[in-house]
Amino acid sequence: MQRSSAGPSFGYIVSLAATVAFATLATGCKPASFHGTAYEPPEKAPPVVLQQPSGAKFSLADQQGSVVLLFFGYTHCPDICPTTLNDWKHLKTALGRDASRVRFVFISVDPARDDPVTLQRYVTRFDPDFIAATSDSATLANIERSFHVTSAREETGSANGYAVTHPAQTFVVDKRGNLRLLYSLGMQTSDVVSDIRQLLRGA
Amino acid sequence: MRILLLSRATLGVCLGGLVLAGCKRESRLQATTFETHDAWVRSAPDTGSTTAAYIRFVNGSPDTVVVSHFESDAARIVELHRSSTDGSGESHMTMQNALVVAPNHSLAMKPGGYHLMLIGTTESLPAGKLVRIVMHLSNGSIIATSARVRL
Repeated sequence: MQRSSAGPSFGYIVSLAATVAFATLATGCKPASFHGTAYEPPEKAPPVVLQQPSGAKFSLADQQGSVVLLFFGYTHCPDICPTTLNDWKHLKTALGRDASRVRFVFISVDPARDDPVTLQRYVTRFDPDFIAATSDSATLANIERSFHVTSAREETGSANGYAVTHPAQTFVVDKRGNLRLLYSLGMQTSDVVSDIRQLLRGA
Repeated sequence: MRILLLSRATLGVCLGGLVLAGCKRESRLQATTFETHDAWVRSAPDTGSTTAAYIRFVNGSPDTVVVSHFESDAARIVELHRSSTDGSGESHMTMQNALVVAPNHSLAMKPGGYHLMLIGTTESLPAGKLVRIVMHLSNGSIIATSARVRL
């Protein structure tokens, strides 16, 4: 799915609706209905191999069997990034025991400033189970491209140093390694819990 | 928090040196309010870190109110910023010179929009603590509010 403000074409939507209607009639099954923006059809998630602050490798391919939430951010970000991580904290609490089958992964797109200690401290202050990961700029750029997103330094004149433009959404990958959902800032916890539980059931 | 603002007309009368008693009376009649509500600061466990604060402003006066400068003992520097997300979902953050609140309107700072950046926190800011934020208005007034720290 290409993410763009224009969205999918009318023809694509008509064709998709016809396919879904046919499948529903043919099988009698109710198609999955999500609160988040769904990838239709689901896409195989691109490879994501990163470094965790401990030195351990994080590979998205190793997470099959778990639902994975991914967010691209940076620790000097005082607004959208901590808001998202705080939303994740509430989400994890609301998921209860189901949270053990969900991975929360914060990908720093500012490796120049986010050294391992800074990154780990920033992310785990929200929850010790949250995973922090990053890589060199070239690897990050490749991953961003495969997710159809970008990040870039922006000089703002702030005493906080440069800002980094970054995607404001959370990407959700299902148990089979498919990109399934996107959430914008301000997600409703109960909606995301409902969606994730559907994915955990195999939707 | 509510403060009284004198309208330009009232200030003009006062500065004009007209009868003091008359000025006082007119101030009472024309004074209007500029209020701050729901101020909060995101917790920051470490000294020297950067965090954000959010305030909702209600301008009940017939004049535009411009908040031109912010400061706090809890941070070395306080800057006004605005986050925005474009059509492709990319988030940008830009520094702002001032916050403009139109007459009889409110303006709420919130995550993903206007926020104060508290740079170089001078102390640990755990949830529950109160942080004083001072604001300078373009008409020369100085107001302050107490913001509760939360996660």
